[in-house]
Amino acid sequence: MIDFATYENYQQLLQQDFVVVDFFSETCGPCKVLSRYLEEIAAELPFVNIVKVNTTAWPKLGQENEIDAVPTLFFVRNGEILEREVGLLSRDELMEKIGTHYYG
Amino acid sequence: MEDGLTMRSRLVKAADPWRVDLGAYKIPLAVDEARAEKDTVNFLRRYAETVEAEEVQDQDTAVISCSSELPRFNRKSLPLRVGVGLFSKELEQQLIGWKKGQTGTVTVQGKLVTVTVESVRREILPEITDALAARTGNPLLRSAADIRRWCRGNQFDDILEGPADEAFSYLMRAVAAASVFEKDPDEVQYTRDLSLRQANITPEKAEEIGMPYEELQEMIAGSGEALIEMALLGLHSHPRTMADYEAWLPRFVRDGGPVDDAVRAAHPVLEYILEIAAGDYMDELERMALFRLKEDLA
Repeated sequence: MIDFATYENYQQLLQQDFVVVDFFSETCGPCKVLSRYLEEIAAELPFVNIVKVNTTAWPKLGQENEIDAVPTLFFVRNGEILEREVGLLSRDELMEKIGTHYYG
Repeated sequence: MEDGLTMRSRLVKAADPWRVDLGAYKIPLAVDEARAEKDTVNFLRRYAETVEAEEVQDQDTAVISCSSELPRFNRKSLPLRVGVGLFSKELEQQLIGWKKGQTGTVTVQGKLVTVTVESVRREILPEITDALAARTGNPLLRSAADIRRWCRGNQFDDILEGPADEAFSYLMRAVAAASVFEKDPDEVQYTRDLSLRQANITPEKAEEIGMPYEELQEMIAGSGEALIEMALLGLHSHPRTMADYEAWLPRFVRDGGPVDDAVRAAHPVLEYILEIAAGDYMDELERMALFRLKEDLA
């Protein structure tokens, strides 16, 4: 499932069992590629929650999470950030990271 | 601009961008059929119906509990996409054919693992039809053939980036040139002045770029006027008023970027209308240009 974060709901969305957070901007090419991978993964793994944060629309979320570049991904379990990944991953790398963090 | 709130230029007749020939920008594309099939499944999954199933099949989502002397295999209510192999390909393969509620043992890494299948959910992928195209809400997908082309074209997005960019610029100019406008001279002057101010062009800069100063000035001024055309093509509602602007603003803030009071105060209303409208229309044409370069792939 894919949710779009706002400043108000961001913390609440992170409290789900397992979440992949995607900090992106509308004008970033690699973000668009990553976004397509995430849409596919959301369809393939319906039990993985994906939260998208538009850093242009919600710059404070970017600042507070120290996002220096997009795309940046957080892998989060019950609100705890397990890993930050900056830059575009291949679809296979992304799946591998989700597998590692989701199943431990 | 006298009041800055109402746009007086009008679109009399908009040209149809689908009728612009982009053949000159096409390059030969050879489809990797295996990749196309995978991309098609990925696309259809977004519109799949999910049902409860009685028996595990490849690609089902099974929720299992397991226990074993292997630490990783002591889990309760763990969802797995069978066959993807994110948890354990070895375990997942052995579950195929198991019934919902069944408990048994499988061998993983040479050790016994006791597994119970708690539930099984299966995706029913939709047929590729014109109705599905309409359901996507994507203006580029108007028929079943468009969906097939879309799925087969995914693999070319990277290599078409350059040609699509050129095709998009051509498409934009061609649509504007074939459309009919009634432009208010004051508004034209306003946007031309605005563009020149923003570009802050100097004779030194022109020399650096290697273009005659007057020619460069005219090109930049013309881009301001082109914004009026883009805005008129993008909005299709007249006259443009403050109410239009207020209706657009929340969407712009959500999708495109922050507009706080300081930014609003620093920019004339018309400029924002133009930027917003042109941005939307150009995004649409950009997607269309890329899509159109894959026309032969359905």
